Amino acid sequence: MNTISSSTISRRNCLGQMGSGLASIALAQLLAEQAPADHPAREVHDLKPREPMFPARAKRVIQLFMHGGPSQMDLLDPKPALEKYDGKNFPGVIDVQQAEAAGGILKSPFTFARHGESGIAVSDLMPHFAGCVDDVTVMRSMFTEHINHEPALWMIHTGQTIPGRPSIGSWVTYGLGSENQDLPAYVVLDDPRGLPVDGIRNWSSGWLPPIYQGTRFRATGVPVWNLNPSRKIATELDQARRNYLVRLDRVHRDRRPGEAELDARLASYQLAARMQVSATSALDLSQETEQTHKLYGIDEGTTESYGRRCLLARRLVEQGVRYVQVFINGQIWDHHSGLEKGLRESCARTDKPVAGLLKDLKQRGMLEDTLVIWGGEFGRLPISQSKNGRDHNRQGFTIWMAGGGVKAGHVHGASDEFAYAAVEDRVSVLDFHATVLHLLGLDNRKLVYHRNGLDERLTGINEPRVVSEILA
Amino acid sequence: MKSLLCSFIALLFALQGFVHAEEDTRQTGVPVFEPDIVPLLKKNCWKCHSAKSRKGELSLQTLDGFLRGGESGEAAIVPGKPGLSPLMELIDRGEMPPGNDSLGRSDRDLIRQWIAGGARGQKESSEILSEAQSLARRVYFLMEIKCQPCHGRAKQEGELDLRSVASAIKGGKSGPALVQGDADASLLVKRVAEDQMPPRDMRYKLSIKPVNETELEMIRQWIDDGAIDPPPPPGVIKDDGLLVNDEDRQWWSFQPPRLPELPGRAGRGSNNPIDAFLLDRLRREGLGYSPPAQRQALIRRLTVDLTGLIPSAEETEAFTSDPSPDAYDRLVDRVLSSPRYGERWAQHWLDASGYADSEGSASADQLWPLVYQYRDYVIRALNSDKPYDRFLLEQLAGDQLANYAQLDRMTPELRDNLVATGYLRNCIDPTTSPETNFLIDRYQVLADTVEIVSSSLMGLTMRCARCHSHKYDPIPLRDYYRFTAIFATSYSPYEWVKPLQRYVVLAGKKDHEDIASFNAGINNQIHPFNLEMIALEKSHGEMFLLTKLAEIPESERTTLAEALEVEEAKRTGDQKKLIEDARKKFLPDDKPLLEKYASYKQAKESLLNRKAKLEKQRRSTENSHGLSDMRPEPDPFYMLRRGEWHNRGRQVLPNVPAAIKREPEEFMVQKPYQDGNASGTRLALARWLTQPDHPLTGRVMVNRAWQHFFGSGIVSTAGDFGHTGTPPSHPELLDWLSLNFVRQGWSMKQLHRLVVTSEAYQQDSRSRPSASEVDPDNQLLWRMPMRRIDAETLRDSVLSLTGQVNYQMYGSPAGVRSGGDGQVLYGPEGQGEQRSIYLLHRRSTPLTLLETFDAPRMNTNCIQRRTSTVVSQALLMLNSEFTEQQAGILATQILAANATTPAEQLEAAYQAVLGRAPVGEENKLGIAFLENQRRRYGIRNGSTVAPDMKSVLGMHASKGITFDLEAVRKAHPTARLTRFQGIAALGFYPDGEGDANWYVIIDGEKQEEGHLLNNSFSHLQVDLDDEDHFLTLITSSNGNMATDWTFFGNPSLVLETGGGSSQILDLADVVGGGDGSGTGNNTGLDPWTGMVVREKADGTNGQANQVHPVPGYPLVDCVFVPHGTGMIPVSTTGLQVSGISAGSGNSTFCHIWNGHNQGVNGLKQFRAVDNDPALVDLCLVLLNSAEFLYVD
Repeated sequence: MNTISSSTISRRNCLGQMGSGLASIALAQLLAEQAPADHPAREVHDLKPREPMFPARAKRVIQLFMHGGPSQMDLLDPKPALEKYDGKNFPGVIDVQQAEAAGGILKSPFTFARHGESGIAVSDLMPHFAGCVDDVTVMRSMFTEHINHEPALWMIHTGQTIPGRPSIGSWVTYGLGSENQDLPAYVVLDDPRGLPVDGIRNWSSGWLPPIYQGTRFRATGVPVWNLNPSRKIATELDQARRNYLVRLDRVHRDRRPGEAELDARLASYQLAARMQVSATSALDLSQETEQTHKLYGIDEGTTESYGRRCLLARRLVEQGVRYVQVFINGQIWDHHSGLEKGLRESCARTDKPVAGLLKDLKQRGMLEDTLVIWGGEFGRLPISQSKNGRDHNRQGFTIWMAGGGVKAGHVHGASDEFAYAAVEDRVSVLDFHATVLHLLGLDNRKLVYHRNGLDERLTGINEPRVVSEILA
Repeated sequence: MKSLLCSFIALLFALQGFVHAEEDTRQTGVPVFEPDIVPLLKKNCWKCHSAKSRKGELSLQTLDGFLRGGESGEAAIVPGKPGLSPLMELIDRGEMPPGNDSLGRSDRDLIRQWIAGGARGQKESSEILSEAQSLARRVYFLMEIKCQPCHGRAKQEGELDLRSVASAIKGGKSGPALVQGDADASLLVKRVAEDQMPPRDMRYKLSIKPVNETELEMIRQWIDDGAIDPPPPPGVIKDDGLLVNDEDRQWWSFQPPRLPELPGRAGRGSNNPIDAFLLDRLRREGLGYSPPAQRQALIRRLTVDLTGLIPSAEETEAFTSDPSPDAYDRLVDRVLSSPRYGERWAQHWLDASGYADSEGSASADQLWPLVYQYRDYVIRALNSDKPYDRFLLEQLAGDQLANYAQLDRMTPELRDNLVATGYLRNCIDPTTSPETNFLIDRYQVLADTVEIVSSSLMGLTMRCARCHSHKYDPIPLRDYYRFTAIFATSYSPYEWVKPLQRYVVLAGKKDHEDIASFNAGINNQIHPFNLEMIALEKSHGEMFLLTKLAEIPESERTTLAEALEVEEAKRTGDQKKLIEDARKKFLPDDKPLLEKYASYKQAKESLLNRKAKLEKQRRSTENSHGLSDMRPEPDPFYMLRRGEWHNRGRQVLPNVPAAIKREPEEFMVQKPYQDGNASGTRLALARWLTQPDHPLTGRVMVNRAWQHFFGSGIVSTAGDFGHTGTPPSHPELLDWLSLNFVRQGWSMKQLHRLVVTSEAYQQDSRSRPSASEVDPDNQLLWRMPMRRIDAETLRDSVLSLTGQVNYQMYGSPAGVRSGGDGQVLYGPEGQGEQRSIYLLHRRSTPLTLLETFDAPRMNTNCIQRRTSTVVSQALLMLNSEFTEQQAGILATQILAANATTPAEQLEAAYQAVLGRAPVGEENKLGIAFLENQRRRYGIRNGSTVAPDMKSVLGMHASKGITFDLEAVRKAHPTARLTRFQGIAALGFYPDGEGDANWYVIIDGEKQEEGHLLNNSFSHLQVDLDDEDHFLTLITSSNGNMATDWTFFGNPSLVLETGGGSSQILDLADVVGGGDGSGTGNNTGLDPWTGMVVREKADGTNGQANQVHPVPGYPLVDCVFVPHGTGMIPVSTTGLQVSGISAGSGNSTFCHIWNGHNQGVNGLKQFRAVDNDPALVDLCLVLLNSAEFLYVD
């Protein structure tokens, strides 16, 4: 291993010659970023961009997480059999969460039509998305491990039904770092109306270093905790404080040659200053045209909140953020009763913004290398619950993906005739994870983190399959 | 979690495979074991897997061997199902045979065909269960989960026991549960089919899923086929030395430590053996220690390491200026005996043991209110230097040291023992919620417990062996489950107790009796109140009915009126009924009485109050969040193949890993006492672990201590002493420290003293290029590593340097709250903030500050913290409310301490934050910043800094007395309070140097002030408004605190009584014991001493009385302690003052009322941020400085 001291001393001399000013600070930052280069590639703990393991189609991800378990047979997986057997007993075993309220087969209250050249069938609840089907792959053969929300959430986000593990966003940023050093690598846009079940653990870095945890950008108000001074002061005053601090810390560091950590500390204060500007700008939607606002539905009350987050997601990935997750409050897709009314409302809130995002990404040429994922933690049952609702279903559900090297206008897999269980080309959550990593140029078997004597992986000790059929 | 259904399908496959195979074997041309397979095995497999060699306990010599499987007990093949056969998978993946000897394609195909053909042999295997037997086993397992919770060992609801066919036939209250051979006639089937069993309403509560159709069909078939008992489960697994052998025991950390010889020379005058070892190693590399650290750095390092706080400026000054040779030793003694020491080291222990105040898993993350007892236990144990072996003994088996349930009295020692077992309850336990209380969740609790114990006490990564034998360390699957079985007597998966019901009562028999008899006494006292209440209601009720006669039908009116006239005892039955009916009609409750009769209302309230007071006195037993065994014998416990809860393997007995055990008798389970629920398994573990020459216990502990001092352990992977861990950098030192630790009575304080008095620890921290070339990572400790202070030290130190820390120890955790933006902040306002260890550690809501600075989230536990350098730390330190507030307080104190020039202010800030004066360039930088920043803010230096308030605060000391004007108004309701008047006077001092100030303050706002010289006085008068509440008289000394202060003569309130007349209320007279009329001699009030002075008849000063509060009258005690003076707040009346900690720079204003701290309500604080924000910025920058955040 190279000795640290020689490189640090030269760095210091270099800075000394350049004097103060932003240029030298930027250089210090650069040097600090380069310092751990002699460590194995992905065991470094910074957010410097890292090459994928193999050429990748997707550079970044926007995950539209549909918390609660959207109903596949009412949205994306039409089943005539439900109509035919409406009210009849379900033939065979059915895995329900609350047996007491379970009833017979429940037909979908909505109609489906085929759209686009691909002719993919979409429920009339999602007219805007229907216009985008030629850009997406619909996966109708997903299944998961648990029928309750929390374990299913842990599963879809972290690959296991136990809490405390790193989320997929953390793994991706651990694997690839970030293209933008002025913003966090993994951003979460949560709903101002409330957190999903289990709160911030949905984007926790678990035992991965905390720099890989999702950073919440609030869609309104201050985007990042402590981004601005709690006591409002003029920029020049704030800048003066920072300058003074940098000077003190340089004096302190110069008395301690060879302490790379002190350079990193200085650099982190500089990033803080840059972020104050970058994050504020990234979140400034007034920089977008009125047309764009309309495209996302920001001009309408129902779609304003979610549309705003979808647009923010685009602005963030545009600036190099690696992984953006868009959440919606509570469990708006969890329709144990009142399915018809509830689904109508949930779609009304999200359909236009989601389609707006797809169209916007496409017209900007960003859909090519941006992977968009839409889906929840599980699906719903073909039988009724409390007469007009549907219970959780882990045996089968539908998600869709778009862009980033995924086939356009494609349907993958199928569920049985009642959309109960995935039967054809089944895709487990871990297969899904392996596929997302693959699209980003990461091999799930090689993306490991050494901990307590184990090489930990997102996909654990399992051997999931990359769903190669959906790769464009 | 897999559902039951899913797992049964899996079982079905696994067990029925053979049945299908039997059909298939009738085909022709299918390979047979002896002629076709054996030659192949002989060539490729038997070298390792013959009946003799049995590597991994697997013999492939006979068909039985295939089916018996290897160490996990899982069959190597599933006849008929090559795809499900583990052996086939290994062969296909090229993992077997190992190395380059993989089988050829034709051999592989032959084996596949053989398995697919049913794995036929010329002789039948005895390992194969008949179809009926395997069905019976499946049904039994099903019943164990879904029926036995109510019809099993623990309970026999309806007198029904479903643990065997015989007991099921015998049946319960409703008759026999099953009829052999006739499912339709069996009550069991009927009840299940009708969905009555398991009962709908109990399923959710007991986390039992309904029996589904497949399962019901299985039960039917079993009964129809005759309902046989399954074959007995395979017996307890025994070892024959195949899996773990003596070679495995050779691993360095499994060998007992050996006392090494001390290397020859120690350091500069040091005879500390640590230095002998370290220097010996360094010299071999041509290196040596760095020079000794500066004293200022040394005290900071030591204080942070041993107390988790930076030293105060005074402490630093005292040490750096102490010339005596033993200054450092005395410093070490002082710090080791500070109560802060236990708090600091308890945090390390709580990290390792996974402590948190909440259950952790479900979204509710319910709080466990009693866990803090364990935290307090740890702090006390460390402060009292409880020997480590005893410490472990109590935590692992405190409940088994004495039969606590049979004892008369709970003693403090016994209480400690029971509370200590909280150690074993630190893991995440979500089983309170029925949704997460299935077997899989319960086994997870056990697994987490094992992980905490093995990683924190033994430095082993045992969790790997939960699903398969450890890949690197000699810990087979069975040893993992043996170890787990030690805890399964307390955490029995099949007889689960939920976390909040799982407690140990901290009371002996006599304690229970005492409490019962005490409460009976209280009940006796309460009883009369109940009677009185009834009588009260009755009398008023009848009175009320009389007023309602007009609303009674005429026919009954007279009779009712007559009835009410009659004495109760003499009323006839009819009369009673009449009254009762009327009461029902008009008085369904006592609301009308409350509205109508003030006397009733008053009497009722008084009764209820008195009753409530008594009820509050009722005592109850204290519970502890500890662990105890559920029964005197360990339950049978089984290996779980692949770690799957439904995949039961053979039975295991509680034991410790064979690789670490040298003699079988090292671990002996013995019942610790008769007649109690204590199996002794955990006691055996504790005794095994605390053997003086245990290979791991001492090493692991001294290594972790080393890690806390030097940033990294001698074994740098402190949680892994196994093959994947890093070998010790100084093995002899580790052994010596470990044995010395034991020799010194397992004393942690001795260990810590030894480390901190070594020369190694006292080195300078700066890097040296020459040494860094040789040993860049400083593994050999040629310097002291620089370290960032950890999260708790950061928060606690900031609070201590601003005097905002409240050193209250122990008790329920201090709450946290959610800030507006979702950050988690300290909860209670005012009263100072408690140290971080006392905060609520709810797993889902860690304090944002602590989490940002790498305090671990307790998912299991944390052996080594990570130190990150991320932008959120910079943002938090620069911009958060917390740091802004603390910087503001510090700046306020600096101004209050009369630091007026920028240089003085800079120095004060440096002293407070960094414990030193600024030097060289720092002076220039700091003063320039301050002046420029002031200019930017538009403040001229000093002149606009609230001179008035500053002068009050800036004085050496001041004291005052406050009166409650509201109380005066209450006592004189007809009068109007208009004015305060009196004389402020300074007595005559022969030396002529008297000099003092006085202030009259209303509700925190200064109204009048004056400055008096020797033997002078001035009249004062303040008009009062009706809203004015508190009147405060303050005196302050400018010079000699012993003599110079003002007293207030005839301090009086003027009360206008109407018609132009007024009354004078002499406050001094009132609080001095007079009637307040002010008649008679002049009186004076002395806020400094709290004395009332009465003039003698001859006009000289007379007797002095202590001021004392008159109940219900206007005195409000009040003491003002200015910033940074070090004054100890003492009530002027000598009453006990609660809730204020003494000490330097503690408080802003303390407002004390009748001896109780009232906080600062109504009093306006002087805040630097309003007056000199530039100074606040300076303080903030220093708090952000690397010098503050890092320890040299």
